[in-house]
This record gives sequence, C-alpha cells and structure tokens, in this order.
Amino acid sequence: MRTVDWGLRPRYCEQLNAVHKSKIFMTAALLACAAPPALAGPLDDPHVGSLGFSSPTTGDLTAVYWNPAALGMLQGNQFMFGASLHSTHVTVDRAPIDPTTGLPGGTSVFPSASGHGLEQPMVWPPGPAGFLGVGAGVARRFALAIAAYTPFSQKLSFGVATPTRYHLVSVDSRQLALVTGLAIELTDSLQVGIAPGLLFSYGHLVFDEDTALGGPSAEDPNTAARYDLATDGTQAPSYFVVGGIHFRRAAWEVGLAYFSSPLGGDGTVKLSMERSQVAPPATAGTSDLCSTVGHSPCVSSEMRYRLPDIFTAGVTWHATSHLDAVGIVRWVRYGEYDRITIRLVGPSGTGLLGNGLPDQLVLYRGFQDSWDLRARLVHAPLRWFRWSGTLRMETSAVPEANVNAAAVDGLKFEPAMAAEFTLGRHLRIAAGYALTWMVPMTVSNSVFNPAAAAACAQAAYDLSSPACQTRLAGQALPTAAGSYKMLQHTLALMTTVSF
Amino acid sequence: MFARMLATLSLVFAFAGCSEGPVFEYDSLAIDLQRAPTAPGGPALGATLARVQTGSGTPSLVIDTGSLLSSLSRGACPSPTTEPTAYTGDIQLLAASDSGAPLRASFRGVTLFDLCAGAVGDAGTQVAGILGGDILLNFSVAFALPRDPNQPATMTLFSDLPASDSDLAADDYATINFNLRGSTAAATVSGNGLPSIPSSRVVLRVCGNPPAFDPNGPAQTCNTGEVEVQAAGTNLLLALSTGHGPLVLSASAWQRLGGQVPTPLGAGEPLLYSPLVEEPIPAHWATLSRLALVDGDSGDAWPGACAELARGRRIEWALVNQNSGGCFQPCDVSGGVAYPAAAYLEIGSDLPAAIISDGSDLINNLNEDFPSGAQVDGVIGAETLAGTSFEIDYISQPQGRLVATCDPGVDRQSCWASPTCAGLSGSGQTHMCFGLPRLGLAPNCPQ
Repeated sequence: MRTVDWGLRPRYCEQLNAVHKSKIFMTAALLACAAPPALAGPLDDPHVGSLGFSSPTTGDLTAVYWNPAALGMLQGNQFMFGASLHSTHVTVDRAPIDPTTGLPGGTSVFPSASGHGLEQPMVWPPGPAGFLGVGAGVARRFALAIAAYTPFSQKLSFGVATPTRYHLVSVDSRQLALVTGLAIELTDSLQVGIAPGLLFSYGHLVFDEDTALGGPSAEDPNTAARYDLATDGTQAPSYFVVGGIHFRRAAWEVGLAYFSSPLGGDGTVKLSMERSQVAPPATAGTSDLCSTVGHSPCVSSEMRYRLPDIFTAGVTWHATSHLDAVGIVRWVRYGEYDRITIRLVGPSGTGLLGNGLPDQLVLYRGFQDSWDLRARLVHAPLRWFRWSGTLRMETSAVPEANVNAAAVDGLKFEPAMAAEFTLGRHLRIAAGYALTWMVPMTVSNSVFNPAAAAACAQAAYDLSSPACQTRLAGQALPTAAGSYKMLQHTLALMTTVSF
Repeated sequence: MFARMLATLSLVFAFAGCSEGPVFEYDSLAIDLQRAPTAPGGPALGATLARVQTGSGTPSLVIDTGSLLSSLSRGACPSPTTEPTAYTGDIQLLAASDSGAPLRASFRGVTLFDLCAGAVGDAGTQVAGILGGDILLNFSVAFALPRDPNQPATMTLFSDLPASDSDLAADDYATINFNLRGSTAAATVSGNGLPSIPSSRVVLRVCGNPPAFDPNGPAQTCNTGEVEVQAAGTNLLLALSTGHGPLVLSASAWQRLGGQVPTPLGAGEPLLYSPLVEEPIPAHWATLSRLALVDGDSGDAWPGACAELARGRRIEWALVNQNSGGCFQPCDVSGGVAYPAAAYLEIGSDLPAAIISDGSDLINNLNEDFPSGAQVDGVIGAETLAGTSFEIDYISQPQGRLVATCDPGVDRQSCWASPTCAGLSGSGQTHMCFGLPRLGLAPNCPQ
C-alpha cells in the first residue's frame, strides 16, 4: 500500500542529509518507531507533547500534532523527548437488579468495582504517554519534522470477577502515530503545515458474554463465556493527516488545525486479533475449545471500530514580554465511534456456535462529540524559567444512558501546572502535573437492555422488531445502570534539545 | 492560492463518506432457508430459498451464488414482456420460520433486474427473484447444508472472514482459493443501458470420480516426473451455485468421466429447472461416485486437480504410515522437501448429477465471459454439498476463498475436508495435518 507518507519520506531524508544531520535524524527515526506518549476523553490524549505549554500556536515539535503550521516557527534543529505517567482510577457502583430479569430495580446487589489504568511509554508494543520528535527549520521558509506519539489510547483493568464483566474486564488500546510534518511560511505572518502519518494499532480487550441472557437466572457466572482478544503486536497501519494554518500579527497568534480520522477503507480501523482465546462457560460441553485441534490459540478474530477526527483552534496573546495568555478549543468528533464489531472464527466441528458462543459481537459505544476548552497563562519571570497554569474543561463524549465500564466519561475539570527550566544554550526541561476530575455520573436509564436478547429470539430474530434492533446495535447486554466516578493523574516530563 | 487549497481540502473532507450506495442491514446470525426439490419428485435438498417482501406478498426468492445478477419481478410472473429492465430497489429477505416470516436481512438501494426467475428444482417451485452473486459479493457468506431434508439449511452474512489461510488450516478447515468470473459485456443481457455486472461467480477446480482412498490401504508409488501420470479421475471446472440442487455437468464432461450420453439426451427423464435460464433443460440423470474440490491455480506448473488430490493422498498415506516405513514418493519431493499437500474437500458418494447438452443455455451462460478460454463444465449444486458447512469469502484479496468443513459425525467416504499440509524442511520441525497428532519429518522414499 503506497501512501503519501511513504512517498515523502525519501525526499525528506535527502533534505536532512543536506543539512548534515543524517545520523541524528536516522537515530531519532528509529527511536520514533520504538517509543511514544498520554490520554483524556475516553480515548484521546489531551496532553500530546507537553502538559503545560503545547498549543496550536506553539512553535516546537509538538506542533506535528497540535498544528503543523506552527512548525514554521521552529528555529534551528530540535529534538524532543517526553514521557508521562497517566493514572486512571474508575469506580463503578452498579444499581441492584432483578435476579430473574436482569433489569434494574431488584434485590440483587453488587459490590463496588474499581478499575485502574497506568499508562507510560516504556512498554512494548510502544505505549502511550510519550512523545519523540526531531525536526529542523530549513532555508528560512520551511520546517520539517518527524515524530511519534499516541493520540488515542485507553487502558483500564477491573478484577477478573468484576460486576462490570459483561462490559469490560480489561482494555489496553493504543494507536501509535508516526508522522512527518512540513510547514511552509507563505508570508511573514502566515504559515501552513501538513503532517501525514501512519497509525499503528494495538489492542487487548477482555470481557464476558452472557450466553444465557434473558434466561431464568440473570448474570449467572456459570453461563458467562470469557472473550480475551489481543493483537500480536502492532498492526499494519492505517493513515491519517493533520493540517493547519498559523497566523500572527502584533501580539496575537492564531492557530487552526484538523486531525483526520483514519483515511481509506471507510475510516474503519481493523485489528486482527491473532492472540484470541474464548473460554466457554461452565455449562458448555467443553472447557477447552482448542482440544479438538490440538493447538492454542485456536480462535481468530477481527475487531473493527472508527476513530474520531479533531478540529483544534488556539489563540495566544503575548500580553507582555513575560506573560502569555492562551486559549484552546478542541472539537473531538467522537460521533463516529458508535460501536466495536468483532468477528471470530473458531475451530471446525462444533467450534464456537456448537458451544453456544456467538461468533459475531457488537459492543455498543454510542459516543457523541465532545468539546475540550482550556485557558492558560504562561509566565516567564526569568530568562531560564517559565511556568504555566491551565484550567481545562471537557464535555462528556458518552451520553449518560450509554455510559458503561468500557466507556466511562462525563463532564471533566482539570487544573494543571507546569514549569520549564532552560539549562545552558541547548537544553530545556519541563515538568507538569494535571488532576482530572469527572463529575460523578449516575446512570438510571441505561441503554443496555438484557431483556432484548430473549425478546429478539422470541421474535424469530426479526430485524424489524425493536428488540432485534436493540440487539443489532449491541445494546442487548446486562444493564450498566449505576454510578460512575473517575479520577486521573498525569505527571509529565519533557526534554527539548536545540542544536 | 492558499485559500483555494483550503477550499479544496474542505471539499475533500466534506464529501468524504458522502457517496451514495447500497445499504445493508443484517445481524450475522444464521438465517433459516427453505430448500427446493433437487429435481421433480426429488428430496427437498435443492436450491436454497428464502422469502422476500414485496407489495403483493412474500413470494420465494432463490439465493444463488451462481447467478451474476439479482432480480426481483415488479409485476406478475410470468412476465408478458421479455426485455429485462434494471432498477434500484430493495430486497427485504425473510426467513423460513415456524413463527411467520421474520425480516432477517435487508439490502436497500441495490441494482435489480425486473425478471421472472421462473422455477427451480421442479415446475411447482416458482420464485419471484434471485439474490445473486452481485449482492452476495459484498459479504463473506456462510452456508450450512445438512443432509437431512428436515433440518433447515442456513445462510449467515458476515462483513468478512478475518482468519488467515494458515490459521484456518490449523483449525481443520479446507481453504480453496478462487478467482471470480462472469463479468462480460454480454452478461449485461443487452446493450440497452443496463448496468454492468461484476464478476461474482465462484468457479472451482474439481477432480471428478477419483478412486476411493483409505490411508490405511496399500501405498501408491510415484516416481519422479510421474505426478500427472499417477493422477486418477477427471479434471473439471465447475461453478458453485446454491440455486441448483444436483451436480450439473455438460455432456462432454460426462463423457470425459467415462459416462454414456443417451440420444436424444433426457428423453423420458425429468427436466432440470435452473434459475439461470428461462426454459427447463432436458437432462440425463446419473450419479457420480465422488467429487473433490481442490485448491490450486491454473498456472502452467499446476498439475491439475486430480494430480493434486493424488499427491495429497500420497502425502497423507506417508504421514499415517510414518512409523511403519511410510515415506514420501519421489514425485512428491523437490529439493529433498515434500511438496505441500493442497487443501481439498471430497464429497461422496453416488452424487446425483444432471447431464445436459453442451449447447444448452445453461452451459452457454456459464461460459459467456470466456467463450474461447477455460470451459466451465457445469455447476456444483446445493445437494452436492449436503453434509458440509462452507463460507464463501468474497472479501478476501487478491483471491476469494471457499472455507469448508464437514458436518460432525459424517464418515470420511461421505465428506472429507482436508486442509493444506505444509511440507517440513528440517528434522526438528513438526506439523499437524490430516487430523493426525503432531508429527515430525517423514523420510523420502529412495528413487
């Protein structure tokens, strides 16, 4: 598959050679394949690059994500490496259910479930919460860069026997972007930039499927089949592009950027889950699907989903020579992320279906677009020191009725502080901390309806029946009614070397 | 200039994903199908049927992988006009169910021909339309065709088949690759502005009437260069058509198989009712001992379906008898390494076959795309594949795949799905083939 990205790479490398930096850039390019960065909304990282200084008007390498046009402000050559620790803590208190119907409002109570996720870049396949980039200003009017980061990721793990099992036991999803950026200075005040990139995906998803949904005993663990689906490393990439413009006049700078969803193939990300295992329920005829073929894993599967595209706008006002005020708006178009579709192929013979295990699953997500707004002050009291304070607010990407353990989101507030020290002529080190608090979400009317599966079966799977439409959408699952709390901590460190 | 660039980019983004096209709604659960008789007076193991919602009721619709086009008559059948017209319409597919006719799949905004498909199986089984390959090729379509006429056949639609060939082989599926055929100007029925029809016909390489095989029987020897000499059976090229019941063979193919063709052909015998042609076809009814669908291509180096089948059987024999002196025959070894055994699906025994004239409309229809090329000898019908489950993966690139398995409990002489068996090149390697335990490298026989 030939894309514009690969077409640009050789020319890019030639130009790098021309500025006599080939060895450095080659090393960086190799490292870029091995390391990357963080996360917010339910999927996307709102702190790509650094935690307190990056924006659509910032002229450093993080512009490959925020606004490639701002790369045009790059002076000389630059190398950036950042790493974050991103910790997520989710608490789910499910509402009691009726033990016979599975619907909310009964006498079956659940213990509180806690989910944890710690993201950091030093893992393989390349983890989230990192940034690696190298770039250079060329011939005054051009700037080139190559960078790796993780724009989307999700990591959360509940206990094995969690009450959230039918929606999520654990998830580790990463989309590593490897990007080349080019900025052109059209006039003294106007720059444009583009950053085509490849998106390498990795996924590991564990959840239970209730094989007796709608049966006499709701959420009976003996009828739960465990689906443990994982890719074997990262997958063949899809491609995307980031484009933007940057305008400056007097004390004002404005940046606008667009981050596309995966291009081609109708925008769907397809993951071959080569390391998939399905454990039949205790009530099945076998405890090991693979026993008939004598090897494990014996299940192939594929996961499909869409990713959002993002519009970003930023304004910086250089109020004084020491103080900047920054406003950033991001429109994350999560509306496309409505479901995850999974197809499985088991061993021949009785296989999956013969053991009552579905070979096609739809996991409803039903996201909506979210708005990420932040205001920031950057103060540089000393030539070698500056600090920033940011207040961020993000609307929920998940409507209340659609919230479940695999998609916890609500209105979020996030204060963040960061500081940057300049050491000598070439080195800058920045550190920051952000605390993200989600307004607790109480789901009383969950979109998930455990009665729909049985009702659809009674309707002979008639797609025109409401119950089968519910099932088709992936909503025929145990209810997710309950209360959800989420707290996130992000600790970030960024090193910038100018040379 | 920059503004123009931005405008262009905006337009590209604005129109991305706005293209109009068919809309499919399905749930990837099995859809119960009815079956037409295999022949007048025959068992209900023939063409696969569903029902379709029309303004005037729920008539039968034949699901035919062998048909290049889909049709649904908008008027009464038989139609008073013979000139077909195309239109954009919907097929609302209804299952055969005890509790009515539930909507099981919806194909909206698809190109349909306003044709009366006529009868399938016998004169009494009239269908209002065909769900053909032109629509089915948007999916990976799984069929389960039980041997018992009282058990419902099913069809399941999937968006694709994610498993690799090697994974499928490891899970005991026989994977047979194919190229789709059928697209031709002539296939557009006439040059009156009708839409073009994509290639959607699954054409497979088949060995007809191979001898029975028992891996515990005597060894078959084969010296270097004798791989084609030692082949037994007759190579055939057959289209897979779930719109037919029996195996349908041209008279010339039947003669190559050693059969006799009476003159006049089909006198006093039941007619063959095919959804691909208007008029019933005179047919001579016979049986074929067995049939093997073999994976392979049409390249010059390919020895043919029967030679590949014979090689696969010899390799299986060597592995089964490895501990008692079994070895790979010289004709099955190259550079000290055994050739991989091709995947195949063998079906027996005494398969009903309808022998029809080479000049019949059906044989002409099957060969419209390559009138001077490789000749399609007939069709493999749904009855022929009774006792199997198979999935036609139209989505796979660059070739489609037929992934087949036999129903549990079926004896080997009735159905045998043999995945490909890769040869080993070193003594430390092992492999699992032919349902045997994991085995190491078998020796090569002396020249």
